[in-house]
Amino acid sequence: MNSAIRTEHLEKRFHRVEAVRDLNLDVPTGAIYALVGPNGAGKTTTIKILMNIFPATSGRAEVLGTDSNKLAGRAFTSIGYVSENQHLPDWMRVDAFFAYLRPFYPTWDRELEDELVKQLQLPLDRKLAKLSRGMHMKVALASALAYRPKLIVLDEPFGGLDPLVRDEVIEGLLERASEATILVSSHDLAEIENLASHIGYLDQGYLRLSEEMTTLADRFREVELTFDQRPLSPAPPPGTWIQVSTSASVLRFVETRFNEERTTADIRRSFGDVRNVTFTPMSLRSIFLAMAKTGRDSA
Amino acid sequence: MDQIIHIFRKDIRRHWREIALSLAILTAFAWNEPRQWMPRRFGENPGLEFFSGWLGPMVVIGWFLVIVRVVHDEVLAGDRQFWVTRPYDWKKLLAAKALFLVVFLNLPLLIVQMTLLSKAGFRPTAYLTDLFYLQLLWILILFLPLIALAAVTSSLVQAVLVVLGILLGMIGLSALNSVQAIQRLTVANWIPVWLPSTIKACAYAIVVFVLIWQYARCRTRQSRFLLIAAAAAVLVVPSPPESFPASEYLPLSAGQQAPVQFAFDPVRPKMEDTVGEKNKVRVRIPLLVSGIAQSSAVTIEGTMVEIEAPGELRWNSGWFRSTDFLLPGRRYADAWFSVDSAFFDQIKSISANVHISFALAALPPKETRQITTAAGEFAVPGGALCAIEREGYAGLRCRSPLTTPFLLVSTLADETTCPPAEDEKATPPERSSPR
Repeated sequence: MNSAIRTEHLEKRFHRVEAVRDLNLDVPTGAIYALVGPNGAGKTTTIKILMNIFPATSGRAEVLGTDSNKLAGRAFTSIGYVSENQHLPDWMRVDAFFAYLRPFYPTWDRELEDELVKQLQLPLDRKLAKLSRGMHMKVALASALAYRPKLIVLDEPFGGLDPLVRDEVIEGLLERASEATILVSSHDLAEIENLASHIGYLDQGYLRLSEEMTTLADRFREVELTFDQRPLSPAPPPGTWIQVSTSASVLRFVETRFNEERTTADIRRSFGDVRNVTFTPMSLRSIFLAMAKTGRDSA
Repeated sequence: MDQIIHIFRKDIRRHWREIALSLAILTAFAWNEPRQWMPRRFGENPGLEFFSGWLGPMVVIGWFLVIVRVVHDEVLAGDRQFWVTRPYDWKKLLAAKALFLVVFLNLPLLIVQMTLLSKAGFRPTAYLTDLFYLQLLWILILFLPLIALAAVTSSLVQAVLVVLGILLGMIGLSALNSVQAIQRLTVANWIPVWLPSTIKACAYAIVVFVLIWQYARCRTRQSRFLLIAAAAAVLVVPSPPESFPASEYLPLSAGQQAPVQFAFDPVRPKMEDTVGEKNKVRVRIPLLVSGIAQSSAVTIEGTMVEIEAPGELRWNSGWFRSTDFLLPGRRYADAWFSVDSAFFDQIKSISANVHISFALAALPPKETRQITTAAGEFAVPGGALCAIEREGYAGLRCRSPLTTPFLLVSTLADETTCPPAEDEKATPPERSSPR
């Protein structure tokens, strides 16, 4: 599969702060790629490098086959970028904003624009300055979708939105998903879970993982072992186990490379006989909480 | 072209208030300007006088507002502006801004200048080349640096603070320059004459480069650094001492008559004082002037003084700039120079030879016209209109567009149309003034 976005050893330094470190990212064409991670992980910086808002300190990035350094002008007719902190021309009314943008895009679709306006219930006669945060975001999104971009890049699009607006935004996105690649950064793991086909986890500038959602869900399990007496933690535990904890006769950990046969064999090797073993699938939120805690503990 | 016009039209819709304000100020300036050509009466409407004095700076402030606001509509500094990820072509964006400024700053200014020329009695179409040249100067000297400033700032407040900072810096530097000890540091003999102008040209090139680079790549931090470095280089580099270009003045060839004769005036006292530069004494040598041909004039443009006294005492001032107009009726002149007080103390009580050399420019008459005028304006050679002021300080008031013609005017009071009073004698030319 071709890549809509690809980075190689991408790095960004702000004075002494390394915001992005040795980032090798690959967003397949047609994917809905969620870039997640804690605050300050480097998600926004990565996206701004991809959009040529920041220059990279080193490494390279390619967006729709163009070096991100050269991304300008006409190249943005194929890219829709929306960020939660984007400054729109607040003095314009919503309808004037769309009318202003139309001539910039040869592929602007008036019917789609009308559809989006209707779907997202946008008040055309209101000035952008008078809109709520959620409405502002919906206008930005509609203005980035109406020309059917090949790549949609969304930086924290759900921040501060109420659940209803969030659903509307996601609905609007999913309807366009078949014709575009979507890169979305977010804290909102619950929403991402329903939206993304691929996921990347950034932590302290490093991309800790990048894979398809289904693979991720398959390989993470919360494992609970029940013993007859208080167990001793294996020293050292297998490298794929994180968040190992004990309480009374129960030992819990998160298996990051779950394979029932192999994991069971690892448990036998470490503890011998175990009274009861349960493997529980994990939500995306639980997976990233476990990873974030592990990252923090090891930092 | 479509994108240029599209952005241009958006900017008009967005900035009509700034445009209206700027045009209103310019209109007020145009309305007020012809009043400045009239002789003023003391105490006449002081409020209006105050307002008139501020109109010129207000025009520039209005332009500043328009430039900064229109450039900031697609602000280049920052990382949150929506337009940087939209299909703007930077060259077209820059062209749209340039078009806006030409239409709403240059064009109104050109119209005002043409209107003023017309009101002043001149034919505007005769001065079109000069007017376009003037527009170019405004663009190069004021508009381009202001656009560059707006391109590296993110808000009007930030731009105003930078301008205030620059003004304060200039005031501070000129205040420092008035301190002689520091003045000596800012005037360095080792600086080649061409260096300051080269640095200024480089600084200007940096301004233009930053403007284009910022539009092309939005590298605000580096652009700001370059602009600060350019400004610092212009302000900090010492000036070479001002030297008089004596080599441009050819010595008299054998048998050639000087356009003016000087002789020491034994009647008027010579004078010296110690006011002025430290460790210097200012000396005046009175001179008699003669030999200037009728309908011509001579200007003294430079002077060199050599003093020789017994006991191998010698002093030479070197060539320095001095200015005096010598007209045919002139009989007296003075040679002023500053001599080191240590040397002066050695020779002040003894007899010394003072040799004074002048660099002169003879001004032959190009066109001489005798005009008898009563009231109203009359044209004089060089494209100026003049009128005799009869109220307050009587004199000749002339106006000329764009360039000031070199006029040498002598007035003959007895040739005026007013009959002399009974007790008034006809006198020779009583006042001559170069214009």
